This record gives sequence, C-alpha cells and structure tokens, in this order.
Amino acid sequence: MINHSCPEWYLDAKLGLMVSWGAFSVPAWAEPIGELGTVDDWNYWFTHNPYAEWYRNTIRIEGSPAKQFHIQNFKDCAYDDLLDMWKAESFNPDEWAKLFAYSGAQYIVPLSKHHDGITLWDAPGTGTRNTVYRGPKIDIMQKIADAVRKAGVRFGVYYSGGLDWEVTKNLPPHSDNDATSVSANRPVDAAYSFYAYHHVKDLIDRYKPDVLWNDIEWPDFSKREGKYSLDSLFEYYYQQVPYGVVNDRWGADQHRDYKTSEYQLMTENEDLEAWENCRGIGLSFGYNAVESETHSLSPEGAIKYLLDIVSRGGNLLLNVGPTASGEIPEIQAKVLRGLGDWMALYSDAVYGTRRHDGLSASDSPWVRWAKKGKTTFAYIDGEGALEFDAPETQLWEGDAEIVGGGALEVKRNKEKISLAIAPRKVAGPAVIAFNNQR
Amino acid sequence: MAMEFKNFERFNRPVPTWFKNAKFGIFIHWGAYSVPAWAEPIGELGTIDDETWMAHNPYAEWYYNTILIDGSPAQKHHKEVYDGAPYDNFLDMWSAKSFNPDDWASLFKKAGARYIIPTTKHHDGITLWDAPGTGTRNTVARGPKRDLVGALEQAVRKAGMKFGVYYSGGLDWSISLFPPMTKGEHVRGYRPKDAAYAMYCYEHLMDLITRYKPDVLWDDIEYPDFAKREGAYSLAKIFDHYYKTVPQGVVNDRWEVPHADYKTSEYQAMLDNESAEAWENCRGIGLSFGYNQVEDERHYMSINAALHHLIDIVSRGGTLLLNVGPTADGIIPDFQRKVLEGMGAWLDVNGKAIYASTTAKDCKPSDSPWVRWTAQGNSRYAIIDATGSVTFEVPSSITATTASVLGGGSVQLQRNGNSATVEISAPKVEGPTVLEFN
Repeated sequence: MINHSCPEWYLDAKLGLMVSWGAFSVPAWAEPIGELGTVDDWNYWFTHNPYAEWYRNTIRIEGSPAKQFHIQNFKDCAYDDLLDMWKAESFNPDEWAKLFAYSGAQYIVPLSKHHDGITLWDAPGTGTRNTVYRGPKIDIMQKIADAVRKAGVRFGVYYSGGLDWEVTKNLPPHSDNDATSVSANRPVDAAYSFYAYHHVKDLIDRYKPDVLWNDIEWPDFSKREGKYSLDSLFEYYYQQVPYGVVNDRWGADQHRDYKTSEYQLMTENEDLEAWENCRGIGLSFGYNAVESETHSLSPEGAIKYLLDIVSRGGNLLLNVGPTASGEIPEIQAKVLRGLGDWMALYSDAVYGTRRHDGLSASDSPWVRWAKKGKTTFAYIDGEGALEFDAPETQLWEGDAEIVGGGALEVKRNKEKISLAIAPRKVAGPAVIAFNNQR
Repeated sequence: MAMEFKNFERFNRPVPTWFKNAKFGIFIHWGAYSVPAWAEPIGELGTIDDETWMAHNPYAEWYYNTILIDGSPAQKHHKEVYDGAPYDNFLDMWSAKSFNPDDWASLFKKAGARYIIPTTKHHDGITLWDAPGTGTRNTVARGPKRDLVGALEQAVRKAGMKFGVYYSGGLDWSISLFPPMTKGEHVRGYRPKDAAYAMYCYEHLMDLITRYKPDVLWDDIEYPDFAKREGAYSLAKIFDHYYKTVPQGVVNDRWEVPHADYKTSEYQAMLDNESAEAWENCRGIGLSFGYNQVEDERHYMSINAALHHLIDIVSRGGTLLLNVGPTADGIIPDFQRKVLEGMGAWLDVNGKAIYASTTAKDCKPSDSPWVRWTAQGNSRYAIIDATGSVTFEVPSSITATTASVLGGGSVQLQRNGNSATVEISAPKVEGPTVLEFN
C-alpha cells in the first residue's frame, strides 16, 4: 500500500495545461462531432472520433471518413511516415513557456507517449522510433521541462500506459459499440509492463516530473507487488519526487493522488477528493485543423469553465494542441491570453482556494463561490445590480470589496444579498472578496 | 528499416573446437506442459502437412496452443481431464518433487553427451529461473519453487559437460493476443515483434548470459524483429555481451539474422541446413520434446535406431541434440533413460569414431548393408550395422588389408575392386560395429 496524499501545491494550483503534440499533428484531422460524454453511441464515437490524436485508430476503421481522408491526402503512407513529416521547425519552447506562464497555468503536462506509441524523448527500448531520432529530432520532454521550469511553472508528464498501438498492431481497431473495447484491446502482458515501467522510470530519472499522468490504465501484469510492479514504481517516484502527484488512471483499486474527469465523462469523479477535469480548448486534444472558433471555448468561456471547477474544489487541465511545425494555433493562443489577462488581476482569488460547501452556485446571475483562509470569494459574471442567495449563516456581507476595485456596498435581504457590479477592464467575471471576520 | 542487420558479420568467426568435437548434446524440455503431458503422436516434423500438424500437434510442449484450437482432440482432452482449467494452473501443479539434478547430469554424462541445453522459457512464456519482469510467473515463485536453470547449470558443469540455454525468442503466448495458431504460416506471423517484447527478451537473455555463462545460446522461432538492428536493446548488443562473457560460446541460427555459429534441422524439417559447415539436428526420443504420456514403444527410437541417427548425423558432419522430456515430478522416463544408457554403452567402446571426428571424404555410405563413415587423424572408421559376412564399398585410397574392431579384435579385408568383404561377429554392446582403418 502506498501512503501518500495529495500535496497542497496541487490543491492550490487550480490551472494546468496539457500539451498534445505528436505525429497525429501532421494530418491534424478529425470530425468535431461533440464533447466526450455527450455521444452515447460508442461505435459512432470511434468511427467519427473528434480526438485528432486518435487518428491512427480512426483510419483503421472501415468506412470511417478519417480513413477516406487519409487515403485522399496521404495515399498509402504508413502512420510512422507522419513521424518523419513532423518537423517542429517553428518550435520555440521559451515562447510556449512564456504564453503558458502568462495564462496562469501552474503546471504543464505534455504527452511523452500517446496511444500511437511514439515517444517524445529517446525512451529506453524505442530504438529510433522517437522524436530524438526522427521527425523533430529533439528531446521534446527536456526542452519543455527546461523552458517551463525556467518560467516558474511546474512540469509533469502524460504517459499512455494503457494503449500502445505499436505494440498491439495485430489487434483490431477500437470500434465496438462499447467503451470497454478500449479496456479489452490493450496490452496487459509482462513484456509491455516491463517496457512501460522502464519508460516511466526513465521519465522520473530524467525529468523529475511533478505530475505523473497515466492514461487509460496500467498493464495488468504489474498490478502486483514486487520488482517492476506499479507499487514499486510509485515508491520510486515519491522517493525521487516527494511532492509529486499521480492521477487515477492506473486501474481500479490502484493508488492515486487525485481523480480525473474528461469533458463530460467520468464526472462522478468530481467529488470531495482532489480531482481534475481535462479537456481541449476545442473538441480535440491533438490539433484539429478542421475545427473553428465555433468548436472552441471563448476566452470568457474558458475562465468561467475554470471558475466553475475551482468552486467545486477541482483543477482544470486545459489542453493545448500545437501544429506540427510547433505553433500554438491562434484560436488557442487567444484563449490562453484571455485567461492570462484575467488571471493577472484575479489569480490571488483563485490559487489556494478551497470549495465553499455552504454557498450555492447560481446560473442566473452566474455566481460561483470559493474560500481561502477567512476570505470568501464570489466570482460573478454580470453587470449592474444583482441579487443572489447567500445565507447569513454562511456569509457576512459587512466587509466586502471588489478585487482590484475598492470597497463595495452589499445589502442583505434575508437569505439573499444584492450588490452592483461595474463594467470591468478585462473580459471575465468580477471577483468579490468577503472578509468573514466581523 | 535501413539499419537492419548492419554489422552482424562482425560476429562471424571459426566454429569453436569444443563444439565441432562434441557431436552429441542433450536437449531438455521441461515445463508446465509436463503436467498434462498429452499430445497425439501423429508423426515426425517434416512428414505431416501444416494444418493437420497444428490441430493434432504431437509436440506436448505445444499444449497451450493446441487446446485453443476448436475441435482439437487436445481441447477435448483438456476439457475432460482438467475441466478446461487455465493453463497457468499447471505451473502450480508442476511439483518437480523428485528432481535430482546430479542424477540427471550423471545419466547425461553416462550417455556420452558433451553439452546439455534445457529450455529456460518455452512458448508458454513461463521461465525456469526468476527472469526479470516475470513477477511470480516463473518456477522460482511458483510450482517447483526453484531456479531450475541454475540447479542444472551447476550439476552439468560439475559433471564436466558444457551447459547451454534454450530460449523461445520467437513465441511467447503469454505476451501476444493472437488467435491460436492453426496453420504453419501462423508460427512466424502470430508472434510478438514489437519494441516492448524486444526489451523483455533482451533483459532475459542478458540475465541468462550474466548468471549462467551458457556455452550455447539456442533461440527458437526467430527473434522480435524490432531488435534486429543496431543500438540499445538490440540483438547485436546481446551478441556483443555474449561473446565477451563466453568467448568460446556458440549461437544457433534461429534468430534469422546474418549470424549463426551453426545451423539447425529438426526431425525431418529444415534438412537443407544440414549442408552447412556446422549443424545440429534436434529431435525427441519419441515424437515430442515435452514428455507425452500417450506415447509408447511404437513411437520411441530403440537404442539402435538412436545410434543410427547419431552416427548418420556425425558421418555427415553434424551434431545430434537429442531431447529428454522429464515428467512433472522430475523423473526421466524409463524408455528415455534406457536409450541414453544404451547410447552411452556404445559410445564408451566406439567414441573414437564419433567425438572430434570429421567426414570421411571419399567413403560412401550405404543402407544395405548399413554403413557410415567418419575420419579422425590418419584413421577412417566404417560403422557397420551387420554381422556375418558383410560386403561393402571401400575406397581405393584405403589400402590396408586388416582393420581393427573397436572394443577388441580385428578383421581381414577381402578386396574385390571397390568393395571389400569382412566377417563381423556379434557386437558386445548393442549397436553397430566400428572398423578402424589406419
């Protein structure tokens, strides 16, 4: 049994960024059909998968539009040819780190190996099938780790322990009308367990990641005690990175520091424990050139999405999907800048907060609550005179101020309070701080 | 892959004298499959068509695969006797309670074998030592609860014989999620070739080399393709380590790379390899490698037949690797013991014509009467399975009018052109008579 609980830094951080960059960023093609958790028909989901990073699976499904797209645009290209076509010629890790830090993100979690099995560092046993030998010819993990840490942001790693389509080339694509087709068609054997163990150990040794973010599940063979077991990997990790955190996607009954949800799926994990919701700015993690602003969060939408999560005690891991050349697409950059513009004024009212169980969120007007020490924060999206629930037993309105804007008069009417919200300099909700000390 | 096979030629070197001189080795197939010990003795490899072979596989060590083939008699047997229990249950049922490595070694020594090669991992993937990454799926943690490779290595070396290891690099049914093999082409098609499995095999072989310094590395059914290149975890790196650790070691030819110290044939298959400079034929005493309790006298070689097989091979410049299949308890079945003891008795008398011999260039073999020739130094040996007045072809280069009989006595030659007639009395030990010409 692993004895490790989620460290405060993670609970305080609130906003992280995932970076999904891979050979799939070359075709950058998927059908933006909707958010995970809103499409009930799994066969339809897999066949029209909006996740561009699932390209290798989608193009193997007979009759899928992605397969057709691939034949039309890449003829008989093998998937691995995309690795060579991925040049990363405009990749500027310091520029990325600057933008990421500006957005207010406190930790960055790039993919080190997605389901296609291509590693973004020269992982042990991968030979030349990695970004150091082919395509970008860069240790992308090292570059991002160095750049974001220099910018004062923590560095974590995403690793797909569950799926590795290079290892399971012989299995059919995931296409069943059943989410369990992913769980059933994955490598679970001793050799793959050994390989994944050595990969993650190497990631720990080289980059001391603050977050270990596994995806799908951990190979079953090593879900037991002993050398090369998952528990021994966790023990090694905490020895090297005592304040590190691991997510919950290692399999049922395995150790975790926090739970995860994704778009609108696994929302049952958004409970009283530490948790994190991840999603793309649009409908995909990998860059999808098909998407437009209509598929994407707006800057304001992203801020409200974050604050909603914060008010419920979670973190947001928002995904960035760079182009194959290494640019952050403008639709995404705009959202990150918008988050940053807002966070520049209000981040103190976000970082380090905890959920406030006594106060209820409202959508009309849009109000979310959080607390930090003796201060209660209300995030309010609206202008002019607003009235909303705030029971006297939970909130003393006597000492309130507009964060960044001075004192504020708050009137109480039984269980409700009313106040006037002025227009703001930056897009996004206003923040009111209530000093609860009478 | 462009890097494939680069520089394998650097391993090519003369065949070590010990191997050229050895002529006779013992193969040991012992595994969880020795518990059911069941197969259909339909015939010798190389005499049966592929599809019939797979569903009625006479190799008891293939039980894992055969019982997966729908409608196979093995599947029916497994259902009836074991109620279709999981294969791995056999690992726990494998007691090895009567295993006495010194007793085995002394039998092999008495048989006249010069090197011993046990399976360290057969296709079922169970390792006979605590191989890295196997967790508890090995004989140290389960079943025999013993490092069987280490126990044999010590006993064999103590008895003055060379020690090699068999390792199934090609097939590992615990790794791959392939359907059962029902056709010959599946054997090479349905095998793990990926990076993870290559890494696993690498660590296994490196561990075997470091721990047991095997004089022979005997791979089976190819090697994971991903490792057939230069670089970390490659087969070339294994060979580097091997020849550095065991300079006089030999590797067989089943890796399918451009290096082998010798080539192999099996029963009546792959006979084209028997024209190589160094080669080895392997076969069971019966029709299986793993112990098959279904077999009886009709399927075993007699002492004389086994000697014929050995002598025929040696006369053609090859080496015999004769297999022993112990029971799950660790007993070498009587019929096998009898053949080994018989061969040893004959070799005690006639070993001069076998060990360190070469082919006798201008001497022709014959099947009626049965005559094979070998040579050593200034001597040529006619090995004749006939008694009474025997006429056979003797080349004109042999001018001697008498020949010594190994084991005592001599015979007069009555020449008649290219043939000669001799009077051969009944041999003192079972097997052909050897005439030595100086």
